[in-house]
Amino acid sequence: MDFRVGLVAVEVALSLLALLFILLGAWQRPNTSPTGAWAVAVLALIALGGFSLSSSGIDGVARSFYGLVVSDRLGAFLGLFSLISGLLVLFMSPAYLSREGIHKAEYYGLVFLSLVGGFFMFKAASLLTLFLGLEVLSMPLYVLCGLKRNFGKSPEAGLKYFYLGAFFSAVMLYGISFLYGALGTVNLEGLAALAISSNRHGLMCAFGLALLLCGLAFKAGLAPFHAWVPDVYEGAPTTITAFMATFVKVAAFGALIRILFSLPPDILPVLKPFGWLVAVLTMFAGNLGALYQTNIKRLLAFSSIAHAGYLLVGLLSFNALGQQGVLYYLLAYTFMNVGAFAVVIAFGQRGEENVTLDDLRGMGLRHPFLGVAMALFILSMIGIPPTAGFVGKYYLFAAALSAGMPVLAVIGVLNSVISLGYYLRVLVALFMMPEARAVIIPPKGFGAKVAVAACAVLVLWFGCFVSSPIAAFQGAFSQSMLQPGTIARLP
Amino acid sequence: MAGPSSYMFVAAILFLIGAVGVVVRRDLIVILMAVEIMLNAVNLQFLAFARQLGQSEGQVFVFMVMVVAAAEAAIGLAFVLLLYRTRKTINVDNINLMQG
Amino acid sequence: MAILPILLFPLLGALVNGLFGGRFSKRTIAWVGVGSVGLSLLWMLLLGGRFFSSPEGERAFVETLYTWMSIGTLKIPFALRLDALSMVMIAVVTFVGFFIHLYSSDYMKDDPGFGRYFAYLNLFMTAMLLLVLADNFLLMFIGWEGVGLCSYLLIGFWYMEDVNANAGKKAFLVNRIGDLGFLVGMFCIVYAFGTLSFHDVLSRAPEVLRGSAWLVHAIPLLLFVGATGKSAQIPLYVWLPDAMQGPTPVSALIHAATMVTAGVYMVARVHPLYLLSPPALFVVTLIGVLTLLLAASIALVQNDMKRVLAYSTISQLGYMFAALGAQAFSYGVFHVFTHAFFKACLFLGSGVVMHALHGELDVQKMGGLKQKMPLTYWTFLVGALALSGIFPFAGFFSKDAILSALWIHYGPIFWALGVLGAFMTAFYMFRVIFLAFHGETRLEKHTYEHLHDASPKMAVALVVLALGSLVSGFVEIPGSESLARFSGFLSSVLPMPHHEAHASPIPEFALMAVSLGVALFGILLAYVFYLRYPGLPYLVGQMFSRGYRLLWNKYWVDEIYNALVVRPIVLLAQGLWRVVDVFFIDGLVNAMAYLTFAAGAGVRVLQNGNVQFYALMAFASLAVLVVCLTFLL
Repeated sequence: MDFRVGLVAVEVALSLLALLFILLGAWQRPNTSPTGAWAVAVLALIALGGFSLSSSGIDGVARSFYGLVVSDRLGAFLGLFSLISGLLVLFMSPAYLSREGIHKAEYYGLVFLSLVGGFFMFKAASLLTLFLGLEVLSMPLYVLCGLKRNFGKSPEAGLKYFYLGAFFSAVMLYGISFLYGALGTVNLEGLAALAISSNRHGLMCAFGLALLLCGLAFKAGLAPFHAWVPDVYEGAPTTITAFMATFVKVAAFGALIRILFSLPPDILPVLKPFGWLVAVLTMFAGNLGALYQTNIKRLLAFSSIAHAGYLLVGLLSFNALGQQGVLYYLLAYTFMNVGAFAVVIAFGQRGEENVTLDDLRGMGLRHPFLGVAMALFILSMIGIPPTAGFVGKYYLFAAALSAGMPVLAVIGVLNSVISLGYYLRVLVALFMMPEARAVIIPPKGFGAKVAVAACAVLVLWFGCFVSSPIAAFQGAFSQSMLQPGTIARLP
Repeated sequence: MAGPSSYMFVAAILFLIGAVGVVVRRDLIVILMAVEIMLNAVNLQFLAFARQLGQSEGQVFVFMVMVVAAAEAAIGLAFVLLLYRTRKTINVDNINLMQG
Repeated sequence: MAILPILLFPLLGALVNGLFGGRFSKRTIAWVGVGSVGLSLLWMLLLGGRFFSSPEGERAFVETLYTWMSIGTLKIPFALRLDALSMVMIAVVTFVGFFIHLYSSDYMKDDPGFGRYFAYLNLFMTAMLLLVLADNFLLMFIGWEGVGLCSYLLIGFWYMEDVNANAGKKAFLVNRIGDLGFLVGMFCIVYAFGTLSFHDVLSRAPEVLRGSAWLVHAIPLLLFVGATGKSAQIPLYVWLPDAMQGPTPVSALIHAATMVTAGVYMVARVHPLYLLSPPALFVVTLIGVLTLLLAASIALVQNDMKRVLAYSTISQLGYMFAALGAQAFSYGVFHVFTHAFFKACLFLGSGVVMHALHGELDVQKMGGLKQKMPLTYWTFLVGALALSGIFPFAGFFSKDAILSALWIHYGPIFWALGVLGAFMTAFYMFRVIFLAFHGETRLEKHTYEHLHDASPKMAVALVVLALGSLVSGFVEIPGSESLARFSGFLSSVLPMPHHEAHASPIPEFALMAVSLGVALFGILLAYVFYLRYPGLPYLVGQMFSRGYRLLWNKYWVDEIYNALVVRPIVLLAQGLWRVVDVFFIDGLVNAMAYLTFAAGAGVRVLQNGNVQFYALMAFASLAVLVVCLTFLL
């Protein structure tokens, strides 16, 4: 056991840059744009992404910092997803932030800090690291949500997120303390000794695990802890909404994977019914809630709840298909969601104007590039082939079937039919309605268009060429710290 | 000397007081205090277990929790100030522009 | 020779017109749109040449491009399969599709969305070709979804009117319900076979499925649910009549000639699965027969020309499924083949009429169009004769083959129901012909004087399709093994249907004569009711002096007949339409939607914006969880 700083090189680099950006923000003159900071941020993320990609091929597992941090393929892939999400969000940021008058260097610092937190969650070998990572991820996001100080909804979003976030941090910690008392350690390997029964030890394990998972379920936006999602997504600056919708979901599901797959297999009979119920509730809450929405950001928020439900379906199958499916869907989800929000940004105007379905009427025909791209993202969310969303969903539901949960798979497919009720409204508004606005302001933001184009190409690419990423994701689980004798090694 | 059970009992009571406070109190500052009570309940439980197990991991955790609690308080108070400046209220009931 | 280009041409056309259509002249758009399908047609002919020049035993080509997905040990390649069945299908799709594109280039030339229209239409061709060329279920599913999506876009093409946009949405939604069945069926196949390739699944079907009690029935039935959605069978046919809101060539291409046959094609493609499950086969025939009767009887009372054609499509699809269920798979495909010609011809004809009358489609308001639009009339007549199954038109051969298969497999009752359908078909088709094209015109004089016939490009399409309706039946002469070239051609994929070797007590020619006679009787009856009867008052006035008595009696014969036979049929048909179609099936769909939206409203109530309420919800859930854990453990 020694300090192998190389294992946390990405985190160190991100933290240093974050501090630099925050300092820059202090000296930034009013009414200027920190273009230099933006360029540095983009270059840094590209470089770190390359580094992560090269390290995603690593074999074996390396530990450091007295078993607090572990480096393995699973973490490398999740980190890569986060960097992709961060990079795409950075591309669409300058135009949006300048338009809203909040283009400050510390924005990039806060985004980077949040990424650091995510990375520590992915590399957590102990509940302590996991918890700290989660907090480091969350706190900059609270601030970022409230960044548009003069726009009433933004501070409200920040406050709501903070309020519930703090509450659930405490809940999660309380759970961890039970686990610590029962197991005598907070290492993830220690979870393999977890046993649920009616004696004192068993009950402490059960409460601890339940509260811990509830905390993560909150972050992932799973029902019945999903209520914050629509309000926060609607109020937050749109770039941050895109960032939260993708990166936070990756982080929360990454943490769920780490924990669930470290558990001993004999707790499955207790775990599965609860998970089943949560998955069903989440899918219905998301899809039914979205039916009446007219604000696109809110609509996408509800849809992201539903997607979390689909992901949980894959996670609950606890088989290889489910593992591949969850990672694939997280990636697909990142592209289609960031892309959709980028389109919303491109069509939007200062002060969160033009984000309702009525505002989008006829825009698909007037701006074919943005319209077709948005249609592609929506089709991917529905799960129409040949898009990445279809492939991901196919894996998730196939996993549920092969795990002997046909009812869950059928409910999932049924939910994707319900989801048509609102996704179609977006398509109809874009392509099948007369234009509503008398004055049409052309969409601005070259960066946002770059993000849209990249997402569109990738959504199609990952819909058409599936084999090699799937093979890589398979390796992510076999080359990870997940221990023998746990759920992860079930046949 | 009381065993860990009694500490757990006290911690549970504290945690409940905090949680109920978060849910029922309307004043944002009192809510922040209620969150602190919840965190302190956790700290108490960690320390009791650390003592019982005779190891330091739980104590380290407590320090980390205290740091996190401080950071949370800073952010929370900043939000309270911001909301008071823009809306002249710190009552959570009045903070619902977004719903449905 | 590569199969892929046949897909790529229309895909390129769609991309070019979709992205740059705004900048092109209409001429260029038409060249790109029609030309790309023309290239596909040429490529199909080249493929056909290669196909026929290869020895008989080796007429199945599989082209694997790359591995698309791998699920565990299951590899799903992007592979195209060209065998006799897909050869027939691509021939129909590209041939009929090309002439419909050609027709469209004139029909739509005044539409501002010209580029968008051709982009959608070309995209549809790509999806349809992918559907019929796919070598595995999942790839087929891409095409399956693709045609659904394009039909949604095309039905709602004139979105300025709410009705059209709603019709588009309805089509998409109902299709998705069917897709649910298809998808679950596909999951079951993966579960049972561990593969999705047609060849592996179909060749291993007997050994794999024989042992299982429920999969052997569940898989074909679930796939059939998908087919009922796409091919508009009970109970999922509701989208098709509404789908006529789109431009008429679209109705011809999608909702008559190609897309709706996807379900028939799919069942034929996977027929070994159906052969293992007699109950599933029976369900297919039963649904087919019920649909053909229901739709035909509804068509009797419709006044909208395109609606009559729409219901007749549903009814003809019912025949195809009846044939499939009776194990006469190649006859089902044969009817797909002939139906594509005459239904496209009829739809395009109705499009010309609609164009000439500025959107008027009510046959009660027409009359006498024959003199003004001779070409349209004659081609429409050929189509109608083919549809009614009159010798020697194409429909005669295919419908008759189906009826005899029904007799052989399910006995006289199903055959009789099929014949009843044929009678109704002849009646409603000629009702339309007589009302619209014959007799005195009921149009305003000005409109009537300015009627114009089909433009040259439209005329070419009409004539070619009418010729197709005339000759395409001769590829399969009933009653003779040696002349059954169509099923012979398909025999490498689909088993030859049983002939009367099965010792049917009545010779096939007798059955044929009966059904032909019944169809002719239907035409005669239509003639009496819609051509003779309207002229009657005039005649009565003229003949008062001479044959009052005779005529009066005759009149009463008609009246009695009307009261005893026609009225009940009309009432029944109207009742069926009101109760089953509008109230029950539409109502069911609406009720589901209503319930879903009501639940959505319920979720909204919980989302009240008060963050403390959210915390309370979470807290309550936690409490329930803790209580559960304490008491359940």
